[in-house]
Amino acid sequence: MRIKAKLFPYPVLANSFNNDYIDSEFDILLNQKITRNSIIIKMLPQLMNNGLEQLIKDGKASFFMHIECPYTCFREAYAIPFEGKMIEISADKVEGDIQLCPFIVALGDLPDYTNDCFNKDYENTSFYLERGNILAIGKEKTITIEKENDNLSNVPSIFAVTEIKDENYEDIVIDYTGDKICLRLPSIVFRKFVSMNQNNPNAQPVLHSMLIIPALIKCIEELKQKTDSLYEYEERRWFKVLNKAAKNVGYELNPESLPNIDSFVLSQKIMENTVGRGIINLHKIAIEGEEYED
Amino acid sequence: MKINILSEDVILTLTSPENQKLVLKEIKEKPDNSWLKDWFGDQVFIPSKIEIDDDLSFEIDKLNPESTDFINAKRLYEGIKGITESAAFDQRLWLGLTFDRFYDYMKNRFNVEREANLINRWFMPEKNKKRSLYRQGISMLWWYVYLTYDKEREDPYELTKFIFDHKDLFINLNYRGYSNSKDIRLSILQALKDFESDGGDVNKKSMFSGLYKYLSFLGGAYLLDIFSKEEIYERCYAQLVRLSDQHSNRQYSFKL
Repeated sequence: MRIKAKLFPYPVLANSFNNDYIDSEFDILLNQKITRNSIIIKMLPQLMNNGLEQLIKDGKASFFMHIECPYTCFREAYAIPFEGKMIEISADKVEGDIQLCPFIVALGDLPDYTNDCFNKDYENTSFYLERGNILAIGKEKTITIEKENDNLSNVPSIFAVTEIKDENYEDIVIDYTGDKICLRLPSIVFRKFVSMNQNNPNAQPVLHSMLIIPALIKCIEELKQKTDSLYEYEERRWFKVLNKAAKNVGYELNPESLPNIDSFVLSQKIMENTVGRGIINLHKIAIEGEEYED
Repeated sequence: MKINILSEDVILTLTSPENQKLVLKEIKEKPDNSWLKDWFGDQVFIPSKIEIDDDLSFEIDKLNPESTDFINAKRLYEGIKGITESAAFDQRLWLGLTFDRFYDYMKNRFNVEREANLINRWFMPEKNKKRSLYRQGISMLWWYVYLTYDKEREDPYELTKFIFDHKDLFINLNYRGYSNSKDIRLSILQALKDFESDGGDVNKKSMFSGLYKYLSFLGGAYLLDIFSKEEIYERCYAQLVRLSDQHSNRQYSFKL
């Protein structure tokens, strides 16, 4: 559940988007562990507001953690006691992002609800609240599930080289709009690529220099242009893997670092100097006459 | 028997914009899926970990293809019952079934001449997004049952049958966040079904859309998930009555 900043017909403790209450805080702290088969989430409520605390102690309201995975239609609201709670969600039930939103909710009607910490706009005012009404909203959180074990088969690479069957196309296309970085090659080029890639390991750095390096440069340059909207890329598999690979060679793909990144240098580092190795191997193939079978 | 899935690279080749026209031509003109072998050799399909009944087959009705949706959805759901929600989210599975086992069914059900939006039915262009899952010819059958199957009923497929007879109201419901909750979803459908059985008209967009708007409005101030199924049902039924009255009186307002 994504809670946008919104107006309620009565005061709600929601420090992230309103000031209906003063000197008050509410959140549910999280500690999660993602294992191969499940997601274990420990939740501990934090509340600074005597009126709401008393309502919960009297059983008239309760803490809830609303957990939702929109992709798999998993959606549950868990009542959380003061001392906290641990829940376990099967990894089979969720995919991608899990959204968590903490609430305090009225468990029964509250005919004259008021609170000493209401903003002075509501001073000496009481409200008729009903069972189910939201009294407080904490900070939304997202847990991203990256499963190590693929459901159906092995985890594939972030690059896909595919064939353009239509013979009218002569250009190579680099497309990073999906989960993978796709390199689409005209039919004749694709067949030569597959043949060399499979039959001659020496050709691989050359092929990588000709295809993968320009694709990586294009992606990194795109990210450099979009530092204000990196979130558009964060859910794509290629971004996650590229980000991890960049970290391994000492770079960060964040808005602060990206403008200073030389995309060719970073691509070279990620691909372990494939251009240099490619030139040496090309020499072996072209000058020294190393053979390969087409 | 294991379900054969399509590899990601095969899917990317079939769905690339440059190949789209050719793919549709192959589907339209070739009698079977043998063209896939011409395109990809012997490595079109990969066996998955998911089991499917050996004798699972689909009804095919040449005159009225849509009429087989409910019965085939039920067969599919029962035929691959061990599948997890997470695996059912994977397009490789559904496109594997589309281009392998159920190719003939797809050719008949989503024939080129009859289906303007063929790409959405054969593929999942909005990759792995819910909307694509609910549109694609095979995944739609499984997900529609998954979302409506209720083992607590004498006939667990009672609401499944209802939504296959009222696809518009179900498609519209799935766009609403609260429909992710099984209790909320089933209560809404039960209210719509009962309202229709009691003589009401739920096929008008203003009726089902009016009900969904009311629930969105309600969800603005209430945590709907804490209500029991009965409470959701009663609120929905009462709102349908109000909407029906408003249509007669041409007045529009919300009442909580």
